[in-house]
Amino acid sequence: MTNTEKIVLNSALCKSCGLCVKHCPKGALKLSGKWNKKGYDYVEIEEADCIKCQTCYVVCPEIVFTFE
Amino acid sequence: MAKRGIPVLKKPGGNFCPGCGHNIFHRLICEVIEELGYENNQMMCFAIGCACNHAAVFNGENTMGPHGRPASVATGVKRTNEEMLVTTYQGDGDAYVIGLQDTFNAAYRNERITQFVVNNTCFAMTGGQMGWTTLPGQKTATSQTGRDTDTTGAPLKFPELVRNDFNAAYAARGAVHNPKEIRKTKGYIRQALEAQIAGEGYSIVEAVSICPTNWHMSVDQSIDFLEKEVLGAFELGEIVKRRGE
Amino acid sequence: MSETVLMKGNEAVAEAALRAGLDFYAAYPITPQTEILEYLSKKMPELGRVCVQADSEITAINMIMGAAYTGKRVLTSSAGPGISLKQEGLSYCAANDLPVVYVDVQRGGNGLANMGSCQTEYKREVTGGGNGDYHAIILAPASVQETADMVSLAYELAEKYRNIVGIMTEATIGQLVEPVTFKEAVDPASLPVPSWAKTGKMISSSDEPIKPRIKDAKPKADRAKYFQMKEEVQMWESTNVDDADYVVFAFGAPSRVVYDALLILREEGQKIGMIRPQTLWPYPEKALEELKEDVKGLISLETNCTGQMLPDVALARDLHFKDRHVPVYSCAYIVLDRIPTVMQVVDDIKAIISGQTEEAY
Repeated sequence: MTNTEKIVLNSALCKSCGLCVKHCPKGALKLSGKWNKKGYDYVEIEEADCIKCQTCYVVCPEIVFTFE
Repeated sequence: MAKRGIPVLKKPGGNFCPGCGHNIFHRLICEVIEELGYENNQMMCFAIGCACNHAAVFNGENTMGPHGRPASVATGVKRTNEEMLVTTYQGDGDAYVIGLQDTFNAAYRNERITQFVVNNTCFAMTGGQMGWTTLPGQKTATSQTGRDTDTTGAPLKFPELVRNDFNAAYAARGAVHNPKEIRKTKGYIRQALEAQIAGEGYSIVEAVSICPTNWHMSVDQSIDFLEKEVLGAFELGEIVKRRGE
Repeated sequence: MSETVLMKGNEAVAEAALRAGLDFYAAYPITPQTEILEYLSKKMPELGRVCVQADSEITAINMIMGAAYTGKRVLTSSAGPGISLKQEGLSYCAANDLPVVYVDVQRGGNGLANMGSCQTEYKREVTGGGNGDYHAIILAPASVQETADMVSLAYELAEKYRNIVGIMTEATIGQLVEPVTFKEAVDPASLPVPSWAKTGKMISSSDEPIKPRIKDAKPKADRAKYFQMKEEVQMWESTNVDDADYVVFAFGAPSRVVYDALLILREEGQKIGMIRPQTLWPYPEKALEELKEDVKGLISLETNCTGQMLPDVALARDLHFKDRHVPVYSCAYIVLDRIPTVMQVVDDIKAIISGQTEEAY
């Protein structure tokens, strides 16, 4: 599987619910400790650990994650 | 893994509380409608309640309200537009409390519509009052010492009622609090919509969802409560399988 | 069949609606209008159209709303108690500018109401019974022929103004059998899909931002439409008004009794006229322009206990007679199971002429 897909993270939409952090099989997602415009502690990704399994897309209520 | 963009019927975000299952369940529905090729030939009849928030982030044709009546509105749409994919999108309060008459009778008449109902065991938008899916002993804004089922009724299991009394095409209950159940729920949604398209009759998919704000819990505590308590009262799975399955 | 046939009022409603291109009808049985549902439950499937017997008047109006959203011609009907159940739905139809037509075949009184013919729903119908700032255009037929004509008129008005239209008839006219001639039938398939109809197509795309809700556009549009309808839709029929000393305002079945009473009083030298409102909302205030300058009094005649139309006659009087006081009298008949007799009306008008009856406004 060529690893050409790119994960896009729209942190402005994140509401810090933590579902993606909880379910990411590689622990690649963490709360950043920084706030977006809505005042939520948004998620950040450690791209090296990400295997593009899209579980974050599946569990995210806000569609923060997309894959191109 | 394939590309994964925003479903064509959906706008990202919306006015939902952090972690709320509404926006997951609705996204799944949008994905399936698009995969079935009906995004330009569908009508979604929204309920009044948290479901209202979807109207702002839904690109498809829809109607709004009145509270409890989507099953009847959808009946009118479907009866006069048989080729259109017609669904309702409701909360448990809208579909099973004020709208029980409309929901019951649409299922009773085997209307060719699909009802989607989010079950978060309370009236969420108005601040977490008791509904007919509230658990025995569960504290809500209107059952502050815990729900007394002797005087307010026990949790209403509508898909099971459809199985026992009507000849519906498909009924299932999923959940949207973890990836496994979310993926299974998407399967239920697809079965229900395919049943409608094939003209097999009435279908309903209920999705059990956390409601951190009105359960007064964190997202993690809510998931725990859902798995330990809510799923005890509401079993997941296909309750009415499609004919020939 | 454009020849004349003998038909019951209720069935004439159903046949006229079919001919006007009715796509979808949903209703619940209730005396005295169930013939509409019976007639359509047989005829509509034959014509490939949809008739649903709903589980209540509430679900019926909401089914109607669904079909109307997609631009279909719809109809629902009931009697007083059922129309009460439909008010929230009608308010929603008004809020969404849906051209919904409904028929209220009145029966007598509050609560269960009795099976008699009356006009006890005037107040609720003309003020719009649901929440909000809307008015239904209300038409009031006095014969089976007029009932049929008003059904097709109702669709024209509903679609022209995108407003709900109610046909307020009553038990007598619904149950009456009279000759009626229908217009040529319209095939619903030939009717254009309205531009505003919801067709199932997508209405925006994922990258467009969430549209802000324009808060005051709708109320402004509602107000403009309200005054436009008030100006353009007033309809009435006058009898011997231009030389009349006293003018009776009466509609529906009682107006036919007043018609006979006028003849008797004319023979006795009493110059009485009648204005018969065909629209109850907007109330025909313009009719007063036909009155002679020195008219002595106006009479609001109706079959309900409290004289529900009286205030509207008084308002019209105030609007027209600025320089002198013209008294308004009330003949409100508490005969909830019968229409007043001709002689009863003759005596009551004489009592007014002789000054025995005091003015009401």
